[in-house]
Order: sequence, then structure tokens, then C-alpha cells
Amino acid sequence: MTWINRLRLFGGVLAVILLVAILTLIFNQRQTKVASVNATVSADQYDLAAAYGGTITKQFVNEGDSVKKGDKLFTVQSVALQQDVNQGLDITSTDAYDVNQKKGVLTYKAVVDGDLTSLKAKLGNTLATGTPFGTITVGGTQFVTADYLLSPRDYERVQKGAEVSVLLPNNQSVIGTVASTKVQTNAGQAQTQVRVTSDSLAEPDLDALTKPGTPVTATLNLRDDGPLAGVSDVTFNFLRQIGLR
Amino acid sequence: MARPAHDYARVDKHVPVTRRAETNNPYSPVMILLSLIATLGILFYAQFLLNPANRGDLLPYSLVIIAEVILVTHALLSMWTILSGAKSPRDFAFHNAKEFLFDPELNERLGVTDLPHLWPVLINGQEVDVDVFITVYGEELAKIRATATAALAIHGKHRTWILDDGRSDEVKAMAAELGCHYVRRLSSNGAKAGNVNYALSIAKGDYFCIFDADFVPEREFLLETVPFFVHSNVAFVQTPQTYGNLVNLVSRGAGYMQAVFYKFVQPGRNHFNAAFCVGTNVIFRRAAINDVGGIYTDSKSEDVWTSLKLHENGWRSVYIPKTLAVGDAPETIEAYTKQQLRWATGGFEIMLTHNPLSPRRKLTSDQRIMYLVTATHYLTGIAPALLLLVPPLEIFFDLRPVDLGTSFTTWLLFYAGFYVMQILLAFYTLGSFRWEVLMLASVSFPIYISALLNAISGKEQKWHVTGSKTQAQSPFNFMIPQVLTFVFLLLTSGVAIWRDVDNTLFTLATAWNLINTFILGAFMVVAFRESWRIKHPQPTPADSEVADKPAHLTTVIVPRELEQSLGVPAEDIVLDGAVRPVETYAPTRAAVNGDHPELAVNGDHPDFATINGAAPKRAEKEVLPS
Repeated sequence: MTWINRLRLFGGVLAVILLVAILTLIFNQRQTKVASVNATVSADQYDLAAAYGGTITKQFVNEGDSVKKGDKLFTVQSVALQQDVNQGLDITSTDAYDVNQKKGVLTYKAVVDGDLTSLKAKLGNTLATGTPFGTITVGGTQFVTADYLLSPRDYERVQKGAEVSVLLPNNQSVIGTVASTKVQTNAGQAQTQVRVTSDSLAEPDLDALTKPGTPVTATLNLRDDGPLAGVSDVTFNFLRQIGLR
Repeated sequence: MARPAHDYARVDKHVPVTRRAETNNPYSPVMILLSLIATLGILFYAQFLLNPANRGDLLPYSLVIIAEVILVTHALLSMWTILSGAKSPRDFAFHNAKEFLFDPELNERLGVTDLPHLWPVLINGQEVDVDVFITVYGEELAKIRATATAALAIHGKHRTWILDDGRSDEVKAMAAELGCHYVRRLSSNGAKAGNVNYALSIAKGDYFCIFDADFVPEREFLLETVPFFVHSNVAFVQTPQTYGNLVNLVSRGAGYMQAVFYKFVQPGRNHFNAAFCVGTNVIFRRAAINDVGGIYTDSKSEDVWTSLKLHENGWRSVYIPKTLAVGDAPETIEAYTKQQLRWATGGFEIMLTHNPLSPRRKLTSDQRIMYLVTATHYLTGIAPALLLLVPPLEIFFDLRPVDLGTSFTTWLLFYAGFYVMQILLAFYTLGSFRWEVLMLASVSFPIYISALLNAISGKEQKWHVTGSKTQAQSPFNFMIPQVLTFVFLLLTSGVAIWRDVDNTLFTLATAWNLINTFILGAFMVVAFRESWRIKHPQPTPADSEVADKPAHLTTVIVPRELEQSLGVPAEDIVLDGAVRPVETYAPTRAAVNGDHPELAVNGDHPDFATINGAAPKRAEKEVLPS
């Protein structure tokens, strides 16, 4: 071979090795990531239910209203309450309702700050005892519930506190962490439900995109215990340091 | 010597194996049936790939679709071409003209009865002048001598010319010694085409033959070709390139790659009037070449371009699948690369600059289709490059060409419908399947890619090699892209295995990538062996021996019964204890020269015709080409 061809061959082999190295890092990076099958934004919700059923005689709020703790919601004229009182029971007021024993009415109140995301009861309706009639969604507590289908080995690599990248519908991603996991087995695969918490979800400017029920994609980082873990870390730290990531 | 199992006298000159060869029908009903089944297989495969339900990720899917559309279309067109070739181009006029080509009474009168190379050549009773050109460009002297000697001995009066672009005084001296005309021009413009055109300004015969310096013509060359010119619209008669040097993997691969082309495709193209000239073993009508302004000089593939110009001017071409000259297939990776690059560049030039489908071309629909096939044929050589990329895409990026839901067996079934049927068909038509061809075809994509780039840019490929024309170059000078591809695939295979072990799931991508690595690896082994041979040359036989014999001999095993009919003296035959019944292996000269060259010289039975004495010792006789 001529020298120029030897140099070309040598350079070419180096380039190929470099290319494969980069591709392998990308591949390894993907090996430690898993995308959700299904993921949605959720938030803490409080169901409203009547301790004593009866007819709604006064309605103070409508669906979608923001409420503060202690705000009045409904006043209910309750036959059951009157019977209890007549039988000599002493029904006292709680955080959830004020009781007027004489009149036999209860006034239900909000127990937390939040939004009335659903309200089934209207003025004049009859509430059945114990049946939920509305939901207060607590602001600022959004989290993501993500479902994954993992091999048992990958399930073992899901770590509490691991980083999760949540892709919102506008292609913006926010970073969260694994708060808790639930698992059940289906055909040998781990159907895993992961609760991802992230402070960014509560940011006011993302309000429309982080409403409970919004579909998102949550990409979970598994623990990288392969031989390239150290190399990957060094490379990506370097990229982060020079501002490429 | 084994005896036949019966006492009946033979009624023909044949032994069973040669008789079978002689009566063999290349267009047998089984072949037609196989072609039909293969067509069905192609259609099923195409609908499987195009079915949207099976579509995978866009990038690998597109790669697969592009590659397979090229391969499938060419497979269909080539089967169509092959099945069109069943009729012989020889008609009554041909046979009649052949009958009266030589006139024994005239020969008697001229006193040349015993000198067949001086017999006047007659068409319609008129004597015609024939020139035989041997184009030389630095080939070995022994090779040129063999060709020139054989050319001088061709039956029929003709003048033999050595057209020396190598400007060698040794060749000049040899020409004088043998009695050939010798032409040397001052410039070397237009390469081989320019060389022939220059000779045409000196030699004024009605017909001229062209032989490359390494193609040794048979004596019957004019007898078999000139009678076609009784039809005044025939521009040239092309005969196959048969190779006598299928001695190593590269030459076998390169040789057999052409076998289907010369045995089936060219005869088929005859019926489209689109059989094209391949630059050697051809005889042209001078008037036709004058009509198109000489041999086309603007391309390295002057042969195809000249044919195209002739067809555009309404001339007819004839191809006969009868071996009338035996030559050399490229034996080294260097020679193979240069040959393929030249051919492919020519094809792509037509595709890019001379679209045969354009209404400006004055071609028949048949010719348009056939030249479109010629122009795009070498795209089939690029297709493997696209397919090589598919497994790494899955390994590194999880991008799959077909939907994950498609089961492996479904996929295999459709895949086999195309590829296995093609291999079966090749096996049936050629008598065997040559893995060398598949290997060489799938590693040649860098050649075709650079041919495409050359054709686009109009530049010529530069090789960074030392200037020596005679000294062999390391094959690695010409296969850097293949080496790099091999390294890439090898590393990718490593990653693939690691990934599969990690996921405890063996994937199809890994299997394919390993196969591809293996194929490229086989080519690397071939290259290393060639490189080793170049560094450790075998001691060459004494010069006198080389001078006495043509460089490449077709060694044919001859049974004793046939000596008489073959004109081979019995005492020349060497026996090795008559262990084997010789006639079972013996072709006759008729088989070697027959209409089915592949069966003999180019055949798949190394026992038939063995090359350069590489055969096991049996009764051997070298049938000299002169």
C-alpha cells in the first residue's frame, strides 16, 4: 500500500471507531431511559360528601370557583339530622360543616384551599348521605402519574428520587423525580405506575398545560450499572459544562 | 479406460455428458415455471413491504423500500428479458450465407485450400475485406502473442492489426515477427475508442473485429459471425466473453457474475434489438460505424455508447451465445474494481445524460426499456449499501424497518419468496449457485457509488497508487471503503451482542449484522490472501516456456474414443492409472465451442474443463486455441 493510502485507511479507521463510540454512548443513554406508555398530570383532590343527606336550600359556590378554607359551600336541610337531634344526640360543628340543631340544617364548608373542579349538586337537589357531590383540587400539588411496561431487570433499576423528564404537550420538558412506585405483573412484565413530583408543574405560567388530566410523556432514567456508566457520566457532564446540554 | 456398458456402436461423436450438454435446452419448461413462481414470489414480497400495516420507522423503512424496489424491478425485467430470448437469431439467410461464405473451388483456383486463413470471405458471392484489430495497452507480451497468433489463424482472408497504445517496441518487434500489421499513434486521446478510430483511418476493410489483447479468438470466428451481415441492416455481431482463468475467488466471482448476462440476458436483448457491444469479441460493419461518426470517444464505456448510437440510427445488432474467444476475467481486486468502475460509470452516464425514455431519443419502446435497464443496472450494486445500514439503525437507535407486530416467520416467508426463488432460479439456469458472486456483489457498492459520483461530476476516479503499470498493487489501495465498512460492522456487531445479552433477547438485527460482517470479512480474507501472494510471488516458469505457449490454456479432458474426432494425437494423452472412467468427465471440443459456453469453459463443473492445469491429474490434453 502506498503511504497516502495507509494514512487514509488509518484516519478512516479512527473516524469509524469514534463514530461507533458516539453511537454506543447514544445507545447506552437510551438503554437507561424508558418512556411512559401512558402518563398524565394529576393533583391532590378532596372529595366532598354529605355527612347528613338532605335538600340543598342554599348554594354559595359554583363549579370552577376558587375556594378558601372555611368558605361556605351549601346549606342542607336534613331530616336525618333532625331525627338524630330529636333522639338526643349532640351534633357539633366540625371543620367540614356548621350545624344548626334547632333548624336542622348543616352548612358545608371547604376544608382546604383550592378549586372546585367538579360540583354535581345544585340548589334544590337532594344529597344522599355519604355520596360525593364535588371535588376540590388543591392548587400547586400537581404531580405526574406515569405507567411503564418494564422487564423485571429494568424494574429493579427504577430508583426513588431518580430523574424523570416530563414532556408537556407544547414539547417543553420539565424535570421531576420519582416519588413512589406501584407495580403489578402482567405476562412477566412489570406494569409500573410511578408518581413523579416536580415543582415546575405548579408554576403559574404553565397553568394551562399542567391541569390535572393533561397527557404528557414521562421519560424515566433507570440506574445505569453497565460498563459505560462512568464514561457516559463524564461525557454528559462535559457537555453540560461546555453548555451543549 | 472404462468401457461403455454395452457393445453397440456409438451413433454420434458424443459421450453421454457431452450429448447432454449438446441437447440441453436452456429455455426448458421447468425454467419457465421457476421464473413464473419467482415472479409470484416478487409480487408477494412487494405487497408485504408496501402494506401500510407492516410499515416500521420511516428512515429504515425508506432505505429498505428504495433498495428493494431497485432490486425487485431489475429482477422482474431481467426475467422478462431472459424469457424473451428463446428464439435463435440465426435465420435461413444466415445459414445460406454461411454455406457459401467460403468457396472451395475458388480456394482451389487460388491454391490456398490448405491455408484457411487466406480463403476469401464471400457474401452474396462478393469478396469482402475483413480487418482484425487487437487493442493493446501495456499487456504482457506472451498474452499479446497468443492473441495475435490465434487472430492470424482465423479462417477466412483477413488482415490482423495490433493497435498498440502501450507504445512498446517489443510488441512492434513481435508484430513484425508474426506478420501482423502494427499501428502506433502519437496521442492517446479517447483511449480504446480513439485507438480503434485511428486504426479505421488506415485500415479500410468492409468489416472489422475487435479483440482485447487477452481474448484469444477461435478459428471459426468469421465463419460464425460474418454471415449475419447478409442482412444489410446488421451493424455488429457480438459474441460472449468467456473466461479461461477462473482460478481464484475474485475471477470466479467476476466471471460468474457475467455468466447470466452472456448466457441469457444478451440473447434476450437480441429480441428487443438492444443487444449491446461489450468492446471485445465483436465484429462491426464499417459502414455502420461511419454512419455514427466512428466509435464513441466521450466515454470510457465506448462500447455501450456506440451500440446506443447505432440503435438510435436504426441499425440492428446481433448477439450469439457461442464462445468464439476465450479471455481473462479480472483476477485481482484492483482489476475487478477498475473493470466494474468503468462499466458502471458508462451505465450511469447514460442514466444521467442520455435518458433512454426521453422523446428525443429515436429508439423503439423495446430498446428504451432495455437501455433503461442498462443505465440503471448498477444501482442494484448500490442497493446493498442501503441494506447494510438497516441493522445498525436498529441496534443503535431502535429504528425498525418493519412493524414490531410482524412476526419473524411471516417476514421470513415473504423474504424467502423473493431471495430464495432468485437463488433457486440462478441455481437452475447456471447449474449451481456461486456464493462468490453474492459475496463480490454485496461488497462492491463503494465502486458503484464512486462510479455514480464520477458520472455526476464528470471526473475520473483517481487512485493513489504508484505509477507502475506492471507491478501488482496491494488490493487494500482499492478497498479502503470496504475496510472501513467492515470495521464499522464488526464494532456494531459487538455492541449488538452486548445489547442482546443485556436484554436477554436475540434480535434479528444482530443476526443480519453478523451475516453482513461475515460477508465483508470474507472479502477481507480474500484481500489478505491476494496481498500475501503479491508480497510472496510464486517463482514464474522459465521465459521460454511462456513464449512457447499462450498464457492461458483451456485444458480439456478428452476421452480416448474422441481423439479422432478432436484431432488430438493419442500419444499426447497422459493417463493416471485409469482410476476414473474418463468419459464421464469429458467434454468434447464441441462442448467447449458449443452454444452453451458456461457448461464447459465457463461452467460450474470444474471437472469439465479445468483451467491452467489446476485440475486433478486425469487424462489431460491442452487444446491450443490456434
